[in-house]
Amino acid sequence: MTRVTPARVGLLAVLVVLAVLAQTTLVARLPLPGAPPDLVLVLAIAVGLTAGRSAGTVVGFGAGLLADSQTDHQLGRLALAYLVAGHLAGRLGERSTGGRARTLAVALLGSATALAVYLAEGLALTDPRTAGPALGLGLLVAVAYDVLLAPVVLPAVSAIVRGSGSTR
Amino acid sequence: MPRSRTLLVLLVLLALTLTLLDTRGPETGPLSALRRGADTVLGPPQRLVSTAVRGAGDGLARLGGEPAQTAARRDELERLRAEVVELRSGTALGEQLRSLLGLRDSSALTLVTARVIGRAAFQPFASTIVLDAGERDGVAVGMAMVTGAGLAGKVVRVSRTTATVVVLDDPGFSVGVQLSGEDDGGVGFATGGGDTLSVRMLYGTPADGAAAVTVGSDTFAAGIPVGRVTSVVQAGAGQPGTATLSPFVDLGRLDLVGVVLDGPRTSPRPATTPAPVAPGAPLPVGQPPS
Repeated sequence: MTRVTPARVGLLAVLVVLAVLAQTTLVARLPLPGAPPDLVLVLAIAVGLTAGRSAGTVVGFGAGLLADSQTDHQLGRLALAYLVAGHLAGRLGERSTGGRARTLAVALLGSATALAVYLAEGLALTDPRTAGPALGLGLLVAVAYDVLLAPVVLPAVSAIVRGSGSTR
Repeated sequence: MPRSRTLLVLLVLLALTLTLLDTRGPETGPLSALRRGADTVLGPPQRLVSTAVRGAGDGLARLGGEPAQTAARRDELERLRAEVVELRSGTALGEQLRSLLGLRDSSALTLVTARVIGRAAFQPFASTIVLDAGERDGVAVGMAMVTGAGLAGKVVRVSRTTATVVVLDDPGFSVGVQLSGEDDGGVGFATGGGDTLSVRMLYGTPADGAAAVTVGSDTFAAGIPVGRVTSVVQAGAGQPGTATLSPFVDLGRLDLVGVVLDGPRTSPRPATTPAPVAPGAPLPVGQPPS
């Protein structure tokens, strides 16, 4: 498993804050049709994939909580969705080796899982936002963007995680 | 991995607990302090990045707008372009500001201008936007956000220097609207529904093309333009129907906006008190003796 060093934790925390900043100021404001890509979710998946399931779980939780704080829905909803995705990506990453195809497949599964978790929470809390009629297409578009974003984010995360004293 | 499983279970439970706690009372307590703290920390860098991006965007537009022409033509083009700029008194921003001031003057609203510095969209469901004006500028929760064209959103959270706004077409947004009509277009309750608003009428029959303005409440000023009726569903004789509104504001291009400061009514309603009853006087008729 991966070793937890203070430098590593600090670096990942900085990465999380930067991702939330980039998402709110840049990515979410791109005039893209459908839904915006989710850089923060992709970060959690990439960390899980490169640094293992524990790191993916913790980063997913932290990043999700910070993302939650910026929205006006209940805190903890994105935290749960992202930590499940980060954990799943970690498990899949530990079981397989390989290049781009694996990255895309894990991003697809992670993104879809996060959306499913968030939808389930919305159902349980009777959130009108997760019950819209035009949601189906938006979901597909969102997952597609996340899958496209993953090969861009993963090398950066990989370089940072490995360069900071990872033992994996 | 028992350790990683413990971690997973622990954090899942923590996330669920936070969600449940936040469902019970979102306005106060340590959770709202956490949100406020995050807003305070993220606000300045959001402002910085937005300004930088705007600058870069302007630069790119200038680069891309320069055509490869002969010198004479380019000179003429530049002269005409300068003339156009002069005539339109500056940039698109000036245009936005002018229409915003027009709305203020026509509706006698007190506005504070603000710029959009962020958008909190993480999933394809909903999004709030972040403004670079906050508590210190007089912005408070429940105030209306407008552009020159009309209503654009509602403030749901403030920090000292930023405000978080839920946009008009978001399913989490709702507002009472008054519709124009030949005698009375009626009053309804509008809820965001992605690109449009759906109105549940309380009374009255809306007509196609009728304009909707805010009806006014304890959080909203009355008479702010909201949108135009694009379709009506009648619910049978004597029953109020439903209608669909297309917002006046182009919600995809929010940049310079105004927050209506005199929206919420802060003074309480006057209380009525009964006349004092003299000691020993007979009790008013109808009250049981104690």
